[in-house]
Amino acid sequence: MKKAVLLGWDGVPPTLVFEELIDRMPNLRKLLQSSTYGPLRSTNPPITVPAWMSMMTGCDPGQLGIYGFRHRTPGDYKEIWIPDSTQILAPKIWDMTGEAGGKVIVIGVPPTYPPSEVNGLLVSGFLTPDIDSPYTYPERLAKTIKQLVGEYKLDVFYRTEDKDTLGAELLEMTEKRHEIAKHFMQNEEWNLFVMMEVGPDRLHHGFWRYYDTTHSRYIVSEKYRSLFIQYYEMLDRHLGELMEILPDECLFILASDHGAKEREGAFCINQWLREHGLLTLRTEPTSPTSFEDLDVDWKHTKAWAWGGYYARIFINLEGYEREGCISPDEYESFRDMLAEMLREITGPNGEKWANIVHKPEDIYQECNGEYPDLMLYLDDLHWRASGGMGYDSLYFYESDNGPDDAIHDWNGIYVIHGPNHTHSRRDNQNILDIAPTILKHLGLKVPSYMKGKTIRS
Amino acid sequence: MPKTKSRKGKFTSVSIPIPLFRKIEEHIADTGFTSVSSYVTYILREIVAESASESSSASSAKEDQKKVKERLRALGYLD
Repeated sequence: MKKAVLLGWDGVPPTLVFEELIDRMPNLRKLLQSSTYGPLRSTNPPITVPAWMSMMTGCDPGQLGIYGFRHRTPGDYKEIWIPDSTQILAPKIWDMTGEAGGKVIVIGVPPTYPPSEVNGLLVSGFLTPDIDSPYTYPERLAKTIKQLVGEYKLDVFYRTEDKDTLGAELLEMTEKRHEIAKHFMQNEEWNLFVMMEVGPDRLHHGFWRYYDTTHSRYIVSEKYRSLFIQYYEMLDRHLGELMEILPDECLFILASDHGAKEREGAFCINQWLREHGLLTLRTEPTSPTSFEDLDVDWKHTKAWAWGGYYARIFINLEGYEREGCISPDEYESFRDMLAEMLREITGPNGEKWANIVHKPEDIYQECNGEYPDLMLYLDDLHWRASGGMGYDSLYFYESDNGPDDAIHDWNGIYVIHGPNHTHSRRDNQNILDIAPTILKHLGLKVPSYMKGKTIRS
Repeated sequence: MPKTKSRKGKFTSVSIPIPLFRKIEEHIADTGFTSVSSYVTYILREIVAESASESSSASSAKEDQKKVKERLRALGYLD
């Protein structure tokens, strides 16, 4: 079997690395000269979970039944579960490679905890409970990692004002992950090597306002702006080192699951629903309160929402929900009316927003699991949605959770280097194209349920 | 983009004896359940969820979920 490498950089937007920082990234610049590359359209929603698993399975979020970091427990208004590896039922590219007899190395892809058996090695990603959990397959691999780099870092906590510590931890985490990656790449047998580095996304959330001079809350700080750039210089150095040890005739793909841009603020979607008579509370919150702690009068609530990078709107459907009050007969007309109202939400000064509203069935191949009734992106992702209530205004900028400078954007990046690829920029590739491209290179069958197209040279 | 209807808005019928239906109606009279269908759906979901959790290593999974949930909450992912 041939060889392929998929290197993931979480949340890297094309303009940042293809243009703004390209002079600081000589290895990327050199790579682009002999690669097919461009923006990579993310999943809908453009969130780490489900995006990486869509890339690894070739299935859209609806096919996976994974719509974000949390999911509803059917029939329960507030109970949630967080997807782990056991809920990803579609085979990943490493499962297919392993089944065909190929050896695999998988590092850092979410969610891969608890680690499943693979034909090779697996180090789970940042959705691992902690480093004391059995986070590798085989389990003894964790000992090798400890010998190589000491205390391995799965993630960093980026919602902090202590930027010095965050910066140091980011650099340490990424150094260690690449150290073990290079070790395994050189010393273990593999046909497919997959690694995901979560650091860029954490850097954006923690430091974007120090880098982006157009950020509405831009802070002049040479120190943190330099740190932002220094992080990318380090990523570039590791990219160069990986390229040097890459076997001949190996397909190499660098890809991001989504992009990043300035975060404007948060919009209280449940407060808005209440203002429009669609949500009723039994008890008034006296201060900002998360949705799960609110006393909702469900019998008199027609719709409620979850926040995040997008708002998931749920309709309180009779027969489906415990205290549903929208009858099946009026469900579709109510949903259409609500979609129209959501599109019309405006900004804090009444300015028009570029809101996007989807019905899940309109955008997915199929809808599995507990999907929302409507999906809402506020001002083309610039504004997050907050499910909390008890705020003075529908709009707020900072929260008790600590600072967060960036929000996701629709386009990540892809760079493909290998047999037959020459310098060529292509702007219309999709995250679902990665799995079939790798399978085809490895000489494996591309399943018919994968709707992505092989990226050609 | 085609406008399809959600299967959430679609239901299928299951037959139950009329006396049982009446009893359920009485049973849910002062509860939050708004219809017999809502109640029966709730009960059936409970049974399905219970059998699913019995078939997995539920307790360690719950502890893992708790830890991950706490981290995600602190990062604002569960806003």
